[in-house]
Parts: sequence; structure tokens; C-alpha cells
Amino acid sequence: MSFLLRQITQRATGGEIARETRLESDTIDIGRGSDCAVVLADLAVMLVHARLSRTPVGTLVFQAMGGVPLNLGRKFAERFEIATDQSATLTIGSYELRIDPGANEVETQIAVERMVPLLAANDPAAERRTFTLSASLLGKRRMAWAIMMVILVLGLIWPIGHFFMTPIAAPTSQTTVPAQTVFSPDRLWSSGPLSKVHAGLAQNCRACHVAAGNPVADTACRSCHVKLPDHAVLTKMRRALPQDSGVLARGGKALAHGLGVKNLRCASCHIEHEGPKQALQIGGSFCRDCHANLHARLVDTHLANVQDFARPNGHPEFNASFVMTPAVAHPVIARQSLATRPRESSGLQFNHQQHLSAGNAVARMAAASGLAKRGLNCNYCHVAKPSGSWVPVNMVKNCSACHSLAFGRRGLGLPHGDTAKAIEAARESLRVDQIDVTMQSDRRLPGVNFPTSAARLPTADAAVRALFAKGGACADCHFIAAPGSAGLDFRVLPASLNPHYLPRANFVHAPHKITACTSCHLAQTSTLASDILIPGIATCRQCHVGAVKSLGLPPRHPAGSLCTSCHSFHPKTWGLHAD
Amino acid sequence: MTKRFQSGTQLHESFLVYARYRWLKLALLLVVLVIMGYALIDQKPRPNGGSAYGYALGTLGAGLIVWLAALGVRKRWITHGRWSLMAWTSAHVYLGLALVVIATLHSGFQLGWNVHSLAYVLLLMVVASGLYGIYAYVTVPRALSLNRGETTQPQMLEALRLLDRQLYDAGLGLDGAHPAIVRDAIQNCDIGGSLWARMSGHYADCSCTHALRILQSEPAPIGLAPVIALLERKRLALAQARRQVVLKTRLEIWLYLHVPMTVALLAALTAHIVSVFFYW
Repeated sequence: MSFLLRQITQRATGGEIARETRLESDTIDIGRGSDCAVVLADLAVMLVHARLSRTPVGTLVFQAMGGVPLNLGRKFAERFEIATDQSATLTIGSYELRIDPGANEVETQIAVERMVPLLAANDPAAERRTFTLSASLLGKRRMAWAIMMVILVLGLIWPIGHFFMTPIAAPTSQTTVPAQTVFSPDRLWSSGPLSKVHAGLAQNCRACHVAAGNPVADTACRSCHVKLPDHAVLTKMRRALPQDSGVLARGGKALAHGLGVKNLRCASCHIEHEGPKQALQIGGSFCRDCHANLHARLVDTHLANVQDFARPNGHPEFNASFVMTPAVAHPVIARQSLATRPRESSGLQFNHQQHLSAGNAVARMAAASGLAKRGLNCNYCHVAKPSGSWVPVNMVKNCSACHSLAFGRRGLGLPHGDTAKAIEAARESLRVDQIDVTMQSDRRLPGVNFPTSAARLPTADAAVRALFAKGGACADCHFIAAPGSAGLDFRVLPASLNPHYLPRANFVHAPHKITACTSCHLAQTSTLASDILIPGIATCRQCHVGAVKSLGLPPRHPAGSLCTSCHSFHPKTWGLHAD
Repeated sequence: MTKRFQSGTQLHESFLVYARYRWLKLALLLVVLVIMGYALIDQKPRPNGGSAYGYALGTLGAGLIVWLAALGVRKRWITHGRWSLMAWTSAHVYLGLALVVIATLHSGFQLGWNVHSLAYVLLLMVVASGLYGIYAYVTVPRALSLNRGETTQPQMLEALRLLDRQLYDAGLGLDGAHPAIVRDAIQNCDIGGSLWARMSGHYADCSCTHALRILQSEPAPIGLAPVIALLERKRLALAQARRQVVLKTRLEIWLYLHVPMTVALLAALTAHIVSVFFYW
């Protein structure tokens, strides 16, 4: 029995080299050990891995010797037996042994070939990759592309697409804006939180940013803020703006003008996206920008220059409105500086000093009527409304407790406000009295004096004359036009109360309750209704020291005075003035 | 320009020191001017990117970002003469640091969850990774030279291959479990591999160390002496190659943040500028 051993090596250029050895034996050992007949130089092979023997019955037996099953034709077992004329492939470690029948029946060929190379070949590319990071990280270029696309899509394409595909919501007249709930991608473009009042617009950027590429226009604001008046005529305001002298500012303005950015838009002053508490980002000095030297730019203005409330010439004396000519329907109201000591013609006569006295007849009358203990105070006639303005003084409510228009024996009050009706009511009252007197009997209650004859009653004409005469019911407060030749067509001249003396300022009385009314309104020394009791600027300056930090007060302290303490940019019109 | 001695040899001049710190001085001057402008120029209602000064700083910042990113293009051109790559790199570093100040003042310190602050944050990430890059470029090359001694990287790997072959031959005569251990030590020792291994130099369960530990603790190490000696040499060679990987990683890793973030910054910058003029 012999085995023909062929050890096959592959040439680098292709082809095989086979070294043949003849083993004359029935049994050969295969393994790593050098005493084996077939030496396989592989650490994965046992020292004696397998024994191949030829049996007397003419079969080949493969027996595992190293404790590791043999792999014959991809089957694993400790022992295989095949016929001598069969072929088989035995895989041991990285070697493959092909067993074939030999040239004659007592010979078996074994071809041994190493299938897996000893060690990995020298691969320069792999070696380079060992030392650089590109093997274990995603490539820089790929990462860059990926991140760039994500940012461009989320931050640019999506919002722009949303902008052009969403219709503009119709303007609403609601005072609060209903919030949209669907996320709007242009929120990613928001440069800051919105003010509290606009918070509902957070998902609706197009409410203000209507046109792409254009600054927020006044039309967008006015779609909701319909009735807000302008500060002044827009063309005049543009002329009134001071021209910056710096190169940077001038260049910036020219650039803005060239790009179509108008100044004096709503958005020029009302800067949004500054947080919940801010919708008006104006410093206290803003008004001064124009008004400090308005005359230089608007030569025809009647407004005085204003620098600072506290400085002696920094703010003009107040211009008060007062009634110049009273009328029933349209009284003539004029504005004039308090420095000229104007006088008001309200058509009434009133003595404040008399009514405020603590000890005179008025005071005693008031005490007797239970109205006030030690003389009337201001609040008896001047009642404040919750909004801060004043209820107009009303004759019936405020005066008639003392100034009764009771007439005649029955004491029925004459109607106030209509001369003809009053005269008629007086006559009627006298007629009633006449009837009373005529109808009287001899029986009478004790203590009640009736004139025993009608002759004691005054005549109607005399009564009417007495009514309107000095000392009568009307002349205390009113001016009476003397009757014509007919004799009895008395007329009470019209009287008009001034609704507001300083309509261009927002004066709030509530914080001023720390002082008495008479500390500013010198009513206690006023005897004439034509006195204007509105205090001048000197009175205010006693406490309000201006925007400058004097007395160590911060500029926003209530006793400081920024322009906005009293004035607002958007004027409220009180309906009386034309200019 | 590199310094030359009369003999003609060149001394290495770091990009940080280039031209006696010329670009550091220019960058400092720029920062001082920008801060002074911010302090002195009144911006209404408060400092913000939309004021005149804000627009000026924004334009300057955007121009700087684009020029800084252009270093990636410049470094691939081979040119001669002035405006060398060394000068560009020096300017890149210092003007990039100045850009942080410019961008911050441009924002008026107003940050929020929007695309504008995204651009700012990306810029900070780019500069931060660049700062690490400077640190790496200044400290790592010397360590690399010390580590490699006189060898090259292919030589390191070749030495390991030779050791593997010798180990293989030495292991053929072993019995028991030892051949498998030696085979493991040959086949399963990584250099490089995962990012963590590359950064830390820590290779858990290195088969070579494992094999050494087992073989050295054998009671009667007859016949094991050559294997153990080879394993020791392999351990040292592995350590050198792995340290080389660690150092090379430090030189390269920051660019994997720096470059993609720069591209992302350019994208975010585009979104920022377009959106600002879209919703003027």
C-alpha cells in the first residue's frame, strides 16, 4: 500500500508547482508535528490531527486523533470510511487534502494545498487607512453636504415655500388677535419674542410682514389699528426730523432711502420682537430730537421749542383752552398761554372763595342742610369719573341744595335751563296760589298764614320781574339780558362749561391726591368765575423736576417728567379744537 | 517667508508667530476698534443687528466668514511669492478669533431659538474646534517625531508583520492550548479600528497582552521562552504603532468638526441674510 503525496504550491504568475513524495505505508499521520508523514504548518492544526489508514477490506479510514472532528466534504465526524476508488476532500486548518485513487489499486494520491495564505498580504492602501481617520468616520464632504441640506431646507426653503403658499389672513377688527395653532416655519426667522399684545400673531408672521423683501408698512398696522391718529401731518414731520451730521448716519439714511425704507413708519418707533413688555422702544429723549429746535426746520410752526421740562426756558408756559364766547350749541373756545393771564367768559358768575369758606353763611347753610360740617370742599361740586375726567358741574345736582328754584307757596321748583318754561312755570304757580287763596275758608289750621285777600299775592308780571331781577333766583349765577320794550322777555344769557382746560396733555389726578386740590388750584382766593384756576408750569415744577437726574431721582420716577409723562405721540382729540 | 540663515538652512516658523505676530496685532486692533464703536455709537432701541452699526458689523462678519472658509480652496493652490499659504493661515487663525467678537457684538447679545442664533452657535463651534486644531498643530508634531524615532509608518507595520511570521513559526512547536493563544495574538491585534480606540489608544482585551499574561504565568515555561520574547517585542511594536494612530487622530479629528460645521455655517448664514431681508 502506498500513498503518493503531492504538495502543491501556487506560483505568483499562475500555475502550480507540485512536489511528489511516495510514502510506503498503510497508515500515515497528518498533523503539525514534525514526526507526522504529512506536516501541515498551521497553528490551527493539532500536533497529530488525523490518521489515514487502509483497511484490509480495501477501504480508507480517516480517524481524528487530536480531539477535533474531521471535516470531510463539509461533514464533521470523528471517523470516516470511504472506498479506495472514491475521491474525497479533507479540510484541515488552512490546508485542503484531496484524496483520489492512485495509478493502481494499491495506491492512493493525496494532494496537499494551502488555501489560506500564511499572513495577510502587504496592502499599501489598507496600511494608509490604518493611520488616518477616514476609515472610521463618515467623510467630511458627506457630512458637510448632509448638514448643509438640512439647514437650507429647514431654515430657508420651507419657510419661503410656506410664505408663498399661504394666503394672507383677512384683517380683523377684533381687539385681541386669536392665536393660530399650526406651527408656522417662519417662526424660525423670528428675531425675538413678540410683545404681549401681539402674542397671538406669533404663528402669523404675514400679518405684519405682508410683502417679501419690504419693510413692515403702515398699511399692515392700520389693518387692525384703524382709528389711530397721526402725530402731525406726515410731510411736516419729515421736514421736522433733524438731519444727522455724521457721515455714517447720513450714508445710512441715503442707503435706506435708496432701498425704499421710509422713516416715520409705525415700525420706525414701535419696534417689535423685543419681548412681552415692550412695544414702544423709545427713549425719553426721542421727542427732543425734533422738538428741541423745531423752528430751525419748520419756520412756520407755532409750537415752541422744548428741551427739558425742568430747565427755566426748557418748556413754554401752558396754553390753556378756555371759553371765549359761551353759546348753547357751539361755544367759541380759544387757546392762549397762561402767561398772558387770560380770563374766561363762561357766562356764569361764581365765587369760589365764598363757597369754600369754612365759616360764612354758605358754610352754615351747608352744615344746616347736612351737606358738610365745616364748609363745602371741592369734591362737593367737582366729581371725578373713573376714567379720570370730571363730571360736568350740574345745577340741579350740585347747586340746588342751597340755590333752590322753589317758587310760590307750594315750593315747586322751577325748571332750570329754559327761560320760557321757567316763566311759564312761575305763572302757573301763581295761578295755583291764587286759586288756593280764593278757595280758602275761615277755618284754617293754627299757625298757617294765608293772605286774606288775593290782593296780597304778587302779580304774575311782578313775580316774573322779581325772578330775573338782581337778588332773584337767576341773577345770582347768570347774566340776564334786559327785556325789550315788551317788558317781560327776559333772557338768561348762554353759559358754557369748559370740558377740558389742557386737552393736549394727559394729566391724571389720581397720583396727585397726596396734596390738596387747593395747593395747585388757587380756588380759595378766586372770587370771579372768569378766573382761570388751572396752575401754570411753575406749580408743576415745584415737584416735577424734569428728565434730568436731580434730587437723585431716576428718570422714570413719577416725580420726574419725561415728555411722555404728560404728552402722547398719538394725540387723543377732545373734539373741540381745529388746529 | 521662512527665516534663512546665511548658510541657507531654514528655521521652522510657526503660523502663530508668522511675521512677528503681524496678524495677531491686526486682529487685536480690529477687535479694539469694533468694541469702541459698539460702546460709543448709539443704537436704537438697543444694540441689535438691524441698526446701522449692526449692519456694518454684519457685513464685515459675513465677508470674514466667506474669506475664512476660502482657506480650504487656497490651500489647494500651489503658488509662489507673496500672500503665501503661511500668511493666509496665520491671518485665518487670528481673524477667526476676532470674528467671535464681531459676531457677538453684531448680535447685540440677543440670542434665541431661531436660525440667526443657529448661525452664531455654528460659528462658535467652528472657532472652538479651530482652537483645538491650533493646540494640536502646535503640540502633536513633536510628539509624533518622538514616537516614531527613525521609522516610517509602513516600516512600523512591516516590523509587526515580521514579528507575526516569527511568532507563527515559533508557535508551531507548541501543544495544548498554546497554539491557539499564539494564533490569536497574531491575528487579533488591531491597530486603528474604532474611533474610541483611535482617540484613547485603549484596546480592550488586546490578544497580545492576553497571550503574554497567560504564557508568563505558566509554571514551567519550557519552549515558551522564544514565544514570550517575540510577544514582548510585538507588544512594544504595537504600542508604538498605536500611539502613532492616537497622535495622528488628534491631528485630524478636529477637522471633522471644523469643516462640516463651516459648511453648515455658510448655509445658516445664507438663511440668516435672506430671512433678514425677506422679513425686513
